[in-house]
Amino acid sequence: MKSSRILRRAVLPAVAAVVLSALTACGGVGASSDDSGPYRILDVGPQTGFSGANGKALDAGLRAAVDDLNRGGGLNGRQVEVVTKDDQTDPTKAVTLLREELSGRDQPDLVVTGVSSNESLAMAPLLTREKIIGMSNISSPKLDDREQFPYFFSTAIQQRDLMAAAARFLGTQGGPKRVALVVQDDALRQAVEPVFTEQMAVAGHTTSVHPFAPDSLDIAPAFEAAKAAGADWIYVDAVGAAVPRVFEGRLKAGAETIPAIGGSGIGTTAFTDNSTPAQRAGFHPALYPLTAYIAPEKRSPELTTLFERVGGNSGPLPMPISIYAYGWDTVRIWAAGVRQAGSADAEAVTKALENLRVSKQEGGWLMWSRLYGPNTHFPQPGPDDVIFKQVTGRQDTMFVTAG
Amino acid sequence: MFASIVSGMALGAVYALVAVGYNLTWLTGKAINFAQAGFAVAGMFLAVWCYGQGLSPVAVFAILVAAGGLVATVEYVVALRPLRGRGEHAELITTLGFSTIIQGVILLFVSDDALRVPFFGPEQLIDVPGGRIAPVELVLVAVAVVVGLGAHLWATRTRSGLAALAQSEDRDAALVLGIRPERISFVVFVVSGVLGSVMAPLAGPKTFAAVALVSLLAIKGFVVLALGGVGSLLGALVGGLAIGVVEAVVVRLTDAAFQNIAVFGIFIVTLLVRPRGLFGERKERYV
Amino acid sequence: MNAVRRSPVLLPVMWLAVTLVVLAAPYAGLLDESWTHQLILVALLALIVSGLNISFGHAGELSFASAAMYGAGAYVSGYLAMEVLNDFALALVVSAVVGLLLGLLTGVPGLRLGGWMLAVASFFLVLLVPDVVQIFSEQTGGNQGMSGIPLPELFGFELGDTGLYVVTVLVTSAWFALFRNLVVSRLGRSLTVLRESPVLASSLGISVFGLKLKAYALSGLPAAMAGTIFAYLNGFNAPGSFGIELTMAVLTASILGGSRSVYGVFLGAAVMQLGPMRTTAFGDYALIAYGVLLVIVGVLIPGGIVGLVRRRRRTAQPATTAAGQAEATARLTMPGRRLEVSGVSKDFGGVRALTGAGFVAGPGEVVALIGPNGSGKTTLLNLISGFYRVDAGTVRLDGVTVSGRPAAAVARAGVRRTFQTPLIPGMSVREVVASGRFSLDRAGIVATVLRLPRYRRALRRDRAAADEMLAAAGLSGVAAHRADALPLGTRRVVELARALAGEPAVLLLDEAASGLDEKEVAALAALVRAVRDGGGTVVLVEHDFGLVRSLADRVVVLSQGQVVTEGTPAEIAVHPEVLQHYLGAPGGVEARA
Repeated sequence: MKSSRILRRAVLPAVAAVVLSALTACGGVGASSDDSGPYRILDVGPQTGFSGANGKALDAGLRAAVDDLNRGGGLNGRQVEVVTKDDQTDPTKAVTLLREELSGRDQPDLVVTGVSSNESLAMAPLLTREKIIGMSNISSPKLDDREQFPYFFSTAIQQRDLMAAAARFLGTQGGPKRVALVVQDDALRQAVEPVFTEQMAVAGHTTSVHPFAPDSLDIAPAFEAAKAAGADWIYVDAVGAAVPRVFEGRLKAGAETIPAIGGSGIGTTAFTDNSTPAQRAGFHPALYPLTAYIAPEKRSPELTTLFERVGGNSGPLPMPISIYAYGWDTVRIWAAGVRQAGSADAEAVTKALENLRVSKQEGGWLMWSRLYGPNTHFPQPGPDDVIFKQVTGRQDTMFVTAG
Repeated sequence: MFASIVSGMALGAVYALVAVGYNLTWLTGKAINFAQAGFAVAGMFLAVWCYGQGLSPVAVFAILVAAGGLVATVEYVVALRPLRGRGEHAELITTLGFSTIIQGVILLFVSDDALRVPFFGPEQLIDVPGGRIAPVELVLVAVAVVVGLGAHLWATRTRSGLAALAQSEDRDAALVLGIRPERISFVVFVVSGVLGSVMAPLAGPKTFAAVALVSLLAIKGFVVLALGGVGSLLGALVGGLAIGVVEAVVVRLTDAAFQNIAVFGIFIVTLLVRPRGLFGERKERYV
Repeated sequence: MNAVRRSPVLLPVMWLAVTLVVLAAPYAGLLDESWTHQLILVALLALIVSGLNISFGHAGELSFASAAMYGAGAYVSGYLAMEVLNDFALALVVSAVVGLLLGLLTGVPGLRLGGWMLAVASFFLVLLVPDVVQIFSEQTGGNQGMSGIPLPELFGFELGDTGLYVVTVLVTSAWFALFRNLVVSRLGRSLTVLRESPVLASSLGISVFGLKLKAYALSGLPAAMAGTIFAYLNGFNAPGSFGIELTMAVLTASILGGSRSVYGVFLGAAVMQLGPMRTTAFGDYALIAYGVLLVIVGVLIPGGIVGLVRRRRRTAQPATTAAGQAEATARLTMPGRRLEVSGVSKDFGGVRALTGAGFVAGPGEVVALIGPNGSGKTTLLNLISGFYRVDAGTVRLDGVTVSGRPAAAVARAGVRRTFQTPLIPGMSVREVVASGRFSLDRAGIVATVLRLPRYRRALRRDRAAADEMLAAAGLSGVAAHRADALPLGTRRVVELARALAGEPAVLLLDEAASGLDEKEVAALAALVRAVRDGGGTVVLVEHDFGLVRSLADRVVVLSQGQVVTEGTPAEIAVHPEVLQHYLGAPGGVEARA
């Protein structure tokens, strides 16, 4: 009787292990890339949860571009298919899902590594080992490492380039300035502060830094400190829940009289919905391509197609069109590389992307004019790609500039 | 500095109101509702939607009262009543579960951004020496004082209040005296939930409606509970305002990252040095 | 908990067999890389849950700190691998120590509080993980994350994916063997006693603080070790991985599998890890699902799924009455000591409970304390056993002062007692009686989990003493029954037997006969007499004067906190003051039993 009880207790895990093994014995091992079937794009990113809307928009843009491609005869004569996996912005889940896909019979030719640098940093090493191209619209310089991540390409510019543009813009405002940085004290600060100090100094401005806690409910102190430091201009950046509180804090501290620049975090939120004109006085958000309003008649054919395909003509889109555009660009850019290389092999495509012979118009992508080189896998903004202007509201998810 | 103190007190008032809710259900049912802050935050989002539909502040209040009462009733039936007579931890888990459900429901409709909640009163900032204060901040502090004092007086001076407290101390005695313990616990629980949802149009304009607040306010409410003393409504008021002010002062004097850690520090120190809080009662261990 | 003896051979053999099967699976081609990856994640969750089970399921203290200890292990290991030396074994050991220390640290608030405040404090701590990581961003990479953790090496050999799997299975198997040994042991039963009532634990001589600290420290160990594996698995640490979401998953897994179960941990972990991963339909509803699960499980299934299964299997136990017990058999030799209480006073915030009370009880004597309600009898008992502190006066045992010492120390000095309402945890009668001995024969944690000879000796002595007491009390027939399911009279006797198992110098009985019928009173009295005849010192607080007359050698009468008079039962029965204030009936009361 004793032993049967033990048998029951110890047999449970044993049976579980055996059953699991039996179930997975059906799943094949061994990876091989098919040479004549469709190209496969694997999108591992959040479809639900906190950044779900972001990930869904990116995925929609991806699929819109793929549809367009397939309709036009495919890529190198082959169709393209997209598989989407939901990782809920969790890097561990992302890696698990990636491994699952990699152990299946069909290897992806391109992996889109989520919407955050955490996800990308988690998946990139595996992609390097398996020699698969990875792309994402993240700006973390840690991924600009061609030794560790030779097959990774970003579709978004680095903070350094944004900051250089900001410093140049300030230079046009009449002489060197005292610039204060008000930023939330987490990954955003880590990304922005070093380049802020560096680029502002290069342009001859003096700087001070005033961080605030990301979940702080009162951000006025940071602005008060900026005022006290004698700032002529304030560079502000925040994401998520902090954004409306930033605008409130700016007004409460009486800092609305100091003109301000908004960073990439603020620029990708619908901040005009959650702030008042008084709070936005003198505020110049960084406007990337597609974040400032483009009238329908001025849109490129690709942009018009994108709008239509993701449902922008039938109702308000849940996310700014630029997010969809990142998805679109990912496919277009990668396709240009595959076309030039004649195959989807990671080494060949990398070479091709580093020496791309087509232009933005020819390749049909929407955001950045200058792309990759042997020394960088991040796009470079053209002289007019990033502008700083006050905005009054939104239309078709894009900001309407004042004046 | 004055503006900062007022701002801090306004946030402290929000914490205090959460703690008052905790204390009310504790005093009358020996149960703490972890989802108390969830009522307030859900109320904020509901208020935003209602205002967006063009409803008047009065209508919004009415809707919040109804919604808060309804959800509180559901929570009582589902997460509390079945646990009568069980150990302490049981309702910690179930009310935590309910709080999680509230967060999940909110997330179905919004993402992790913060929404601006319009204030039904004047929104124009007032210039004072040292900065600007918002009218809503003054109203928040006033309301917290009224509610805190009111609850305290009810619990210590009125018949219904004393009966409500008594029945949770000694159920049998209450029964003998003709007081119905279950009903009192239930009514106060619902009132507490309504208190939570009704404070939304006041707290929202100050904190902005954000999902992360559900956990954040819940925890800060506990810090107030520890500082003020579990079971003391006055302690909740004083403790809440104090924590708010301390937060504001710490932020201005030190590095941003230390804000939450400082509050945590107060929490731990209070629990270790004076476990009964400022106004709590000393309990002798008994067999 | 069952008192069923585990076969010393069969369990380890099965354990080894299962471990080998799981280890060999990938080499036999049964598991591909993505499955070994998944199983590692299940093992990690199981490790963390086992830690939670120690502090929550067994010790009864809910703390959410597991996520923080997991993170600590991950960050420490990542840092070591990148900056110091990349060795899996080193990282594992250092993390284990860090986990132990952190567990202690986060448990310290729990010592004074427990319950809500510990849960809240630990919840808060987990919310602070990103802040702490950010403050040390130079070492941790801040909120951008710690990237570039190399592939693990063990003694110079690089561990590939399968290698990491093998190591994980070994670590998990080894830890769970120790965990199981911990749960099914004296220490595990001490935790059950603690969970039932800290007062009970103290009365058995168990230091509540010490036991809680052990539980907290042990709960941190597996979580931190899991962190080491996690860091190497991902090559990357993000603070978001160690937050409330993980805490919720751990808690849910624990409750699902049964927070006191050993094998249920794997079930809960497997369901949580493999379930939500498989169904993306949960996606947007994940939080709602967690919440609903918590509410349902919190309300309906305290023991988890495994507990449900166990409950169904347990056969109905016939309630036996005291009359069904065999007659008390063996004689007890229990040399008692001299108890001297002198000049004791106690105030309760304005209410004077005792003023200058005192009496003496010697070996081979039964002294009864009687008096009306509120006279201070129970207070006096509580003061003697150390649960209250005296305001004035002393309590001495054979001349050694014990007043002023904490209750557990007084119990260890030899003062054992019963309670007005019997405090009986959910264990078998034999286990309950054996628990009286836990403060004798202390075997440390290491000896316990490794089942060293020292532990086995203690266990043998426990059994022997329990059997002796059970026989003496006539409880041998119900030895394997659940003690808390027995009738009141039997439970009182069980309490008495437990107190006796502790080899007491002085035995205190608090209204042990109240609520008992005649037969039960007789059984109780027989046992008390056996103790007295064996040389023990007995003090009893009693209302039943008939019982007092037949049992006590001397009677001390208390009224309004003061000793009114002392004497033999016969003298007291006719004492005019006593009659007036207490007994009421003129001419005394007849002896009973």
